[in-house]
Amino acid sequence: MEFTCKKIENCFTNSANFQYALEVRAESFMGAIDDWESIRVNEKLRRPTFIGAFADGIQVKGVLAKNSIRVGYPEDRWEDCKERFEARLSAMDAAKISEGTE
Amino acid sequence: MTESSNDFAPIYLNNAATSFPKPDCVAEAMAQAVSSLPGGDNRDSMERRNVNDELRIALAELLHAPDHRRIVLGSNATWGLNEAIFGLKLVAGDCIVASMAEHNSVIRPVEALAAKGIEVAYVPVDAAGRIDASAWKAAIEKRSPKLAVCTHASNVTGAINDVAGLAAVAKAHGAITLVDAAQTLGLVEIDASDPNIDMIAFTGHKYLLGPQGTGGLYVSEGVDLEPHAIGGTGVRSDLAKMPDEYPMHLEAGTSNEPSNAGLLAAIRWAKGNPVDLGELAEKRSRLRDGLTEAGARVIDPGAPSTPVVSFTVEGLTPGYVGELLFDCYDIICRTGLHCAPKIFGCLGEGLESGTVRISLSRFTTDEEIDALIGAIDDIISSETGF
Repeated sequence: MEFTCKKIENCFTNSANFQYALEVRAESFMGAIDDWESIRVNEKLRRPTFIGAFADGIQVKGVLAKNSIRVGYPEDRWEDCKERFEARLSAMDAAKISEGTE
Repeated sequence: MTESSNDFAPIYLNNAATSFPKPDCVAEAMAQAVSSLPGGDNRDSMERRNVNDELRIALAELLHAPDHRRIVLGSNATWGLNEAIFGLKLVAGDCIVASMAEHNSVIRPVEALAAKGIEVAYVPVDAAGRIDASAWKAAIEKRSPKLAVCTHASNVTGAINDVAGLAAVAKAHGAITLVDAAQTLGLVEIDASDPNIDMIAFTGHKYLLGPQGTGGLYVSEGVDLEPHAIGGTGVRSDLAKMPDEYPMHLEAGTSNEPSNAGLLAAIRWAKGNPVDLGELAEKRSRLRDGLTEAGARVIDPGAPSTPVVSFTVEGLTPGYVGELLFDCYDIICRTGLHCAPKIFGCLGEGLESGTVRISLSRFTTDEEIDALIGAIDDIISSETGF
């Protein structure tokens, strides 16, 4: 899957948060992942969202109907985590994700 | 890539950063200035319009400044504060007294001086973000600073300070006084003719309703500033230094005349359409009460205050709340430390990640305020308690 990435700046020097524009909806991305350590969907907001976390500390958030996600990496090893996460994104098949077959 | 989501009109509640919308005349004046013959800064003939001088005159009226030529125009309040703080040419051993409520536009310049041996003392503020007058007096008496600088209002809580009283104390002990009016000019009266107030830094893009990139510094007669930026002034080109006369003493290079035209139009518009401060205070109360009822922890400075409400939601970082407001409700606000990092230690426990700051303008509607309160109610009821 192709994606673009942009660092999200905030008030804190050590933050390691990035936004990714995806080829698929966040909802489809969320459904294609089978190793969430935790995952929670909030349907009560005007645009429903999800927030999930992996065992290595990577946190992913997004509006289900949007084609973007926000990803927070652990501050102390964010570069390694980012590389691993992006490799995983690249390996995903956007068409299959959209069909729900991945 | 396609985006699939319902479209809603954005709600802009970040007016303490940059006010929006502007009166239509602002864009019109800027467009007209860009498509007109450029003015000659400081050297116009009587037949040619001098927008910058007209702006100085309008600002002098607002500030109650006795001489419009003592108003130097720059790019924002930060520019003005830098001109003032670095222009005094303080030396090692001199002292600056500032408050914990200051913006980084003050903190970073004075810290740069601190690195060169100038002492800097920060006066605490109370839990509402208002400068503690007794602590201010004590610091002034103890330090006898060369420069005393304070913000007119906290950009975090909206608490308005009695700058006339604070300046009087500092002046009585020999300090040069500097007020940061970035958060107040256009909303709150300030008197540049007060002999205790030596300098006032201001910006055009907040409550003056002008465009970004406008602002400046009022410098009272008798204050001696060295120019921080040096260059051409359009006149006295045979001098190897900046002319002594104000405003050109501190105005090097070509000015932002189109934006200054926009700011001038905004000030004139506001003169004919004065802001209803009572209505603005009611809107602020509506917001404060609604957020409190929804379960937010609101920092309430009481009166007097600017139309700013800072709050937190227990269990959620301000940044996350801001993301949800934007992503799910198209509400634009500001979260975090608001470039005023020192104040949070004074405001109470649990504010390490700052606050969510909502800042209203005269154009904010009750419906927009209610939409925000409803969104926070949704967020608190569905995102907390896990």
